[in-house]
Amino acid sequence: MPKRLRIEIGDGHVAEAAVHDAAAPALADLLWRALPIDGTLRHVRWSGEAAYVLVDALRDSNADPENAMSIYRPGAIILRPEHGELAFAYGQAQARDHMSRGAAGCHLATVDTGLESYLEEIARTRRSGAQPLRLRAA
Amino acid sequence: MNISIAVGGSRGVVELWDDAPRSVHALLESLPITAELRHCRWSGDACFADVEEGPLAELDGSEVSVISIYPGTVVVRVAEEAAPSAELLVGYGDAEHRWPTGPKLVALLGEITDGRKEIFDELRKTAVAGPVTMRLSREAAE
Repeated sequence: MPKRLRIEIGDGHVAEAAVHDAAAPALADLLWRALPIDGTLRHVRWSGEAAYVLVDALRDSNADPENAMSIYRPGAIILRPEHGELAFAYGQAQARDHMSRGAAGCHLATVDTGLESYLEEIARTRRSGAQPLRLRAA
Repeated sequence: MNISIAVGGSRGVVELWDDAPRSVHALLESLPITAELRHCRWSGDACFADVEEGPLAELDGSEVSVISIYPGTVVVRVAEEAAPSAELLVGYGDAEHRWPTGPKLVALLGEITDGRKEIFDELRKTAVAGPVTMRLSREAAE
């Protein structure tokens, strides 16, 4: 049975995501071993309509690419292990940074429960600033 | 020529350049400007403010010439059909004007010369704390 991720944002908004552990076995395992994660969710500066959290335990500069995704879909959760970055897309977004305009990350999970309000909470980081983020095994 | 800039509680001076004289003239004709400054989503370490009316909003694209937004640089992205408001942008770190479709040219207006560190701190904070108010004016900038 696929792993499921519980996502809690701000004052207690909860969503759940299906982890793509068949398509990304090594990086899904890396995420699972890093849980629980408590971090600060911030809006991205280069990648469009998404927010991100940096997690030291997810940093792996030698990780092989898995389930690569460049254009993010709303609800997609993307890991870029070279940065230890988990990105949470709420609209049009892409793996970009100051050096590149079209890199790729690992499409690690997809939010499938509580999606509508989840997208609103992620989008709120743009106008209201950073939010606390908690990730747990569901 | 210099103008004043205030971002949040920090104040400084913008030295206007002559790279894009019509754009600079439009900026001067639009002063004072008070606007909400938000962090960029695609362009890196920079903030932007919408300009919906006035001479800046009516600029054409004939003076746009750069995509890099160096720290302290103030630029304008002119209005167009896909984005009917112009944008004023101010850089505080690594920044390049980009849209979802790729790089986008802007016109150079000037550079913050005084109060850089304090204003950069205010700009940087918007990535975490949300928008801040910017005011551009002629007041006591000389």
